[in-house]
Parts: sequence; structure tokens; C-alpha cells
Amino acid sequence: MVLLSLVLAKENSSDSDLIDSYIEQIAVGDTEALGLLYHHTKASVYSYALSVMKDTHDAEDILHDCYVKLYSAAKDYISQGKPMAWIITITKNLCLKRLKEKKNFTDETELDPEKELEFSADVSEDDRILIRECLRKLSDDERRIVVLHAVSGFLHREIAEFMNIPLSTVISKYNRAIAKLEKSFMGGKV
Amino acid sequence: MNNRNTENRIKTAFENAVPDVLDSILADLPSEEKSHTSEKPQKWYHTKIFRKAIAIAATFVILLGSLFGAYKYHDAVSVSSTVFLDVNPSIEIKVNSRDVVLSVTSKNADGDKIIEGMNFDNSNLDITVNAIVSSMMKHGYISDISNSILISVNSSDSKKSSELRSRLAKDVERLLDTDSFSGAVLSQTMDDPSIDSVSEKYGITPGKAQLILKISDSSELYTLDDLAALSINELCLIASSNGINIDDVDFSGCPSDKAYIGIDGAMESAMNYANLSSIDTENVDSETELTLKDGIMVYEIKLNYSGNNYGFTINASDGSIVMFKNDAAENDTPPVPNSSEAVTSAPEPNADHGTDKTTSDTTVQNTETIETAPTPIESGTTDTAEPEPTVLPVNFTPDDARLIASRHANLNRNTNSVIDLTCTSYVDNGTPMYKIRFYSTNFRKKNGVQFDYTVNAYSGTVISSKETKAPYYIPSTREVFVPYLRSHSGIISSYTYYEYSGYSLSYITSELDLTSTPMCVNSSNGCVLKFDSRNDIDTLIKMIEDANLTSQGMDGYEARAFISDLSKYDEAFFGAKRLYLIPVQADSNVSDINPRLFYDNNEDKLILGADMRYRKEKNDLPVYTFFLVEAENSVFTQNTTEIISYTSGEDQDKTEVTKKYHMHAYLNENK
Repeated sequence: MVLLSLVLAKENSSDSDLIDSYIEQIAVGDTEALGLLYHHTKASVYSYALSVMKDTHDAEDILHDCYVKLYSAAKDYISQGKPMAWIITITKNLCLKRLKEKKNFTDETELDPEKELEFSADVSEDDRILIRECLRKLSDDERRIVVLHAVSGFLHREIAEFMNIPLSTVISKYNRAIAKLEKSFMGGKV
Repeated sequence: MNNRNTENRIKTAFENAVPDVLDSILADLPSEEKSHTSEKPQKWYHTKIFRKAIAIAATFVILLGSLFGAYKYHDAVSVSSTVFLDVNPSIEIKVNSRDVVLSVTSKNADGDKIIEGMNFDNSNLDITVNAIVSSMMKHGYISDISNSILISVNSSDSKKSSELRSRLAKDVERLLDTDSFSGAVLSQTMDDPSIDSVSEKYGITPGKAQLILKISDSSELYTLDDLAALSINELCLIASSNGINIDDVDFSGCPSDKAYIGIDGAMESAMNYANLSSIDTENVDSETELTLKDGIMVYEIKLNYSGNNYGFTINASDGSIVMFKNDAAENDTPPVPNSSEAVTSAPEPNADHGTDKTTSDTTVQNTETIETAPTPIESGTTDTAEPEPTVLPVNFTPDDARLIASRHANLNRNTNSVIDLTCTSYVDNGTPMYKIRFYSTNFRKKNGVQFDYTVNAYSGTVISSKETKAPYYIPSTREVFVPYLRSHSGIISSYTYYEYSGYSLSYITSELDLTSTPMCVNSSNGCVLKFDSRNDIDTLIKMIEDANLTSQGMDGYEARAFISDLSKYDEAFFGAKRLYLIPVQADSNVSDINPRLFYDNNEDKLILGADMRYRKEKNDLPVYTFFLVEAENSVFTQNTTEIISYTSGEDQDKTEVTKKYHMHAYLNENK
């Protein structure tokens, strides 16, 4: 009975607290908590990885690696109220490592853009088009800022701190990126 | 707003696109204490948590009796919620789980006055809030002039937070609904753990810190420094005036603007200043906004009358004019506040330039145009005796002075007739002056003539004027201009338009479909007067590729171009003959190349410099920088680059090495 009220209290707490509680459980080896955390945060991790790697296969690998790494690192995690920032930092470091590996082992020939974005069959055409537009139309920074804000719910201020760029730059890049995408959706012409 | 729709679409698209890799994650976990899981989460009563809890519960029951008394005491004295009330006075109230007040603390000097002599020990929260707000009204902090209050609730229980916030907000709304005014009540729950640093930095409550963070996050118009000093009423006015949507803050009522002159008062001030008070404002197309500028509340008014665009910045408290701007009309001659009088025999003024700051440590020819507002003009007389200023105030902006000069020259200031070249300000024996140069293409009157004027910036009178047959030619029509430009620059354009300040060329490619990159070019000699690549790197890249500048070996890689504030160097480029594209190859770990163009007076040369930042762990593709550089009778060769100096620093925390290179490229004199 006591536990039930504790569980219910957890369900009612804020998102950060919820994620913190999952990580606490994962730290003692609870794989169910890992599953819950995965379902809760996979969109944020995947979208960020895709925004950096621009390749669905790479992004999927990083999605996998992120949670495997998180499982080991959870025991060293100290809560500072921003668990999503910690998770995205793991994702970012995996992306950087992957990019370095790719640079060392692949040649300079242009990759086929269509091949880089293979989605599973159940992803709708609209969603594919939208994600492609994000990858094509936006610069690296714009893309990352958009997914961190729109998908992961980071505040602009948090994004500025995470990416180590001024807040005004984040806001202006974000607005510009959204304007480009809206223009794209409307099939705009000059 | 459209942004929200777009954000939701993006979120949904990515959520739908995520592949399910949970099984492979679980399969690849380190083997030590992995527990077997099925595809779906197990029932809660099968979980480890539940099994552990049964053990805990059993222990708890045994201890329950002895702990109960201790618990009750602890509950009574521990803080369950904190409420902040902010107006200008700021008060913090801590309560226990039963809403009994544990402490009331003032957070600023105004707050001290509010709670002086009041004892809230063991009082009920609602009664305490009621008493404090009443005290604020009694002391005049909440009135019809300034009627806004912010209620912020912080509780570990979010449901409790919400409930308290809602209840207190309603109570305060009722209290502020008086015969003489109605209050504006903002309420929020505290959910941002990072506010403590902001709260400490500015000496404000966490409640107010959270509010200003939200405003600053939603708009790039205001910084935290701007907002921290404002009262809640001023913050509300700014937010509502600028259409800033503050997330998760409930708002009821309307913030009072009675402390200010009001939109009508501001308009009256503006019309009087511009000598337009006789016209009917109903027929004037105008926009007014109450905002914050340099720490003071101002009304910004834009109006269009008789084809002229006027801009005013007016002190919201006393109606004085802070800034005035008047753009010329396309067809009609605009009215000028003071009539200009021709003075033909005044001697040439002192050639000293204005006292602008130099912005770099190399010699820069000082030709900056004054862009800042003129000093405010006192409207009406003042009773206090103030000492005579040593420099007369500037009553006329550069735009005003240009109008005065061109009227004196009997030129219709049409964009096809007059092209502005330079405008510099200086002070001559305590009198502010403008030195203006412009060119006329009006073939009926004075085609191909360069005008040099000196205008008194205090009185608006013309001090001197000179006309010279121009040593260059600026075509008056686009058909002549565009091919001329192309032959010089080699740049292919698909669209052109003209700006007031000269000829502008805009590039739009059908493929990229981005906004244009305007480039303002002197059409007689191809030199770039203005270039802004901040928003349009991709278009510039395409433009460079279109210009087929492959002879310098630039195919096949990603390029980024930066031109840093070319408008400062108009004078340096004036008279230049050709645009050149200069590649500066950086190694793969160099980023953030910031070119600086300097005109070296001593050597009479155009010097290209760059700061480059180098990082050890940089994974981007190699970066190359292109500069568009003009030089008269000069050819730039790649081999003239040399590294002059560099500094390096190592940041242990970031494990990267930063090196800054100063690289100067000298232009040869050979053609």
C-alpha cells in the first residue's frame, strides 16, 4: 500500500523527476526501468542523433548505443535536475565519435542522399518529407536547435548552454529555421 | 501561432520515425545483473520495486506507532510550500502542509515597509496574503497607476502547487476588484531549477526570476539585465505590447499604463515635433508600441503621411522625443521640420572628423556615419536653471541633413536621382556638423555631379556647398547598370532591385529558393559598398559557383563565406575597380574564420586580415573562406598570405586547444 502510493506519487511528479527516478532504478540494474526510460525518451535521442548524423542507419545505431551506455553510466549519475541534458550529452558524444570513425574510414565521395534516409515502411510519406526537409533545408546548428526545442522540449536558454552559443543566436536561428520549414511546407516561391 | 503547428508537426514526424530497438538494447547489456524482460513491461505487482516495498511496508508498520508522533511534529514545522508575491515590493511566505504560515520575509526595501509591524506566526496563508496585498494597496504600491501583482508558488507536490496558485490568484483578484481600479494578477508555479542563479544575480525573488526568464526566452528584444529592474506592471505592459506569449503564466485583468502619457499623448508629442499637429491623425497610417529602450519605457511610433515615413521614440513618462527619423519619399518631396537657408559664402569647415571610437588596433579611416539617436530635445521650458552645454545638441539626424542638402541643391530626392555616398559628423567650436557627399544621376538637371555639403546639425542650416563634375559615372537606369556590373564582377544575377542608398543587387536562385543576399555595389566601378551575408550563406555559395570561379581550384568542397561589416569601409572601396575572390585555405581543424578588412592610411593599401579559431577535436569538413575584395589597380595573389602572429591557449576543462591566427594579406600593386 505504501509502495502503491509511492508509485502513484512518482507518476504525478514532473518529467525530470520521473526520468531521474528511472535512472536511479537503472543504476541498481533494473532493466524494466531502462525500458520505461527508453519509451519515454527515444524520440529525443533519435531525433538529435539524426540531426547530427543525417543518416537513419547511423542514428539507429546511436539510439541503441546510447541506452546501452546509459545502463552502465547510471550508477555514476548525480541528479542536477536536468536528466535530459545528460542523456542528450551521451548521444552527442556518441555522434562525435561516430563521425570521427566515418571520417577515418570512408572516402570523400558524396553519399546518395536518398540512401541516407531510409525509413521503415510504417513511416508515412508526410513524415518522411518533413524530416528530409529538416535535413536538407536547415544548417547543422538550425537543425539541432529545432529538434532540441520541438522534440525534446528544451528551452532556448538550455539549448544555448548545451551548444555553448549565445541565447540570441539560438532564438534567431530557431526562428529562421521555422520560417524556412514553413515556407517549404507551403511550397513557397520568392 | 504557426510556430506551434510547425513544432508539433516536427515532433510528431520524428516520434513516428523512431525505430524500435529495445530488444537489441536489452540483449546487448552487460551480463552481470541483467533481468529477463518480455517485450511489454510487466505488471506492477511483479516488479522488483513491489517486492522490495512489501519488505519496507512490514518494517514500517512495526515502527509506525513510535514514529507517528515524531512525524506530526516534523510535518508541522517543515516547509511544504513557498509563495512569492512580487509587485515592486517582494515578499516570501513559507507554509507547512496545512497552509499554516511558518515565516514571512521581505526580499527588498519596499517589502520591508509592507510587513513592518505585522505578525503572521501561525496564521493561515490566505489571511496572510490578504493582509500583505492590502498593505501594498494602502502604501500605494498597487493602485490604478500600477496595478499588477505576480503570485508564484513552489511546492514539492505539483498538484498542491497548482491548487494553491489557482486559489490565491482568485483571492487576490477579488481583493483588487475595487471601485477605483481593477488589478492585473499573474500567477505561476515554479518549475525551473535554474532560476536560483538568476535570482541571486539580480537580487530578485525566484518567482520574478522565472517570469523574466520566460519573457527573455520568448523574445530576443530584451535581455535579463533589461528586465530585472522593471516592476511587474512594466513587465506586463512590455509583454502585452509586444505580443509576447509567456508560457504557463496565468493572467487576469489588464496592466495599467496610467503612469505614462498614453498612446494619444505620445502621438500628440510626435505630431508637434514634426510640425504635423494640424493634420487629422485619423487619416494617418500609424503603429505605436510601448517598449523598453536603454532602461526607459518609451513609445515607438511609426507613421506614414503624404508618402513619408516617420519614426519617433518618445519617453513614455514625460513625452520628450528621444529619437526622430524621417525617410525620404519615393516621389514627393517630404516636409522638413526647419526650412533650409542657403549660405554660399561660409568658409570650408574644419576637416576634423567626428569623435567616433576606433574599433580595431590597426589604423582605420574614420568614415562612420552616426547611427545613434540625437540627444533628446526638451519639450517645453524647464524651471530649473541648468548650466550651458559645452556642445549644442544635435537636432537633425543624418537623414534630415541629407534632405536639407538635396533641397538646397534643387534636387528631387528620388532614388533614381540621388545616390548617397558618405555622411560624417564632427563638432566645430561646440556646434555639431554633418559633412555630406552625394551624387546625382538626374539627367534633366545635374547628371554625373558630386555634391559636398556641410550642414549645421543643431539649426539645420547649410554652411557650405560644392558641386563637382563626378570623375565616375553611375547609370540612371537598370538596363545600363546590370550588364555594367556583371562585366566587372562576373556575378550572375537573376533579380535586381534598387535601394534608397544606392544600387542593390539581389540574388535569388530558383533551386535554393532562399531569401536574397543584397549587395550594394557602386555601378561605375564595381566596388562593393555593402554586403550582408549573415542570413544567406547558401545563396552566396551558389552565387560563387555560378560565377564559375573554378580557376582557383574551388570545386568539390563545402564553402563558407563571411564578410564582416563592409559598410564601415565604404571609403576604402570607393574607386576600386574589380571584385576578386580570394580563397583562404584552412586546415581541417580550423573554424570560425572572421575576416577583417582594413584600409591602411599610412601605406595606402587595402589589407585583409582574419582571425581563425583552431580546435583539436573538430569533425566538420574542411572549411574554406572566400573574400570579396576590391582594390584599385591591384591584383591579389594567394602567395602573399603570411601568418603574422598567433596566440594559443589551452582550456583544460574543454580539452581543446584554441589558437588564434592573425593573417594579413597584402595586395600587390601589379595589375
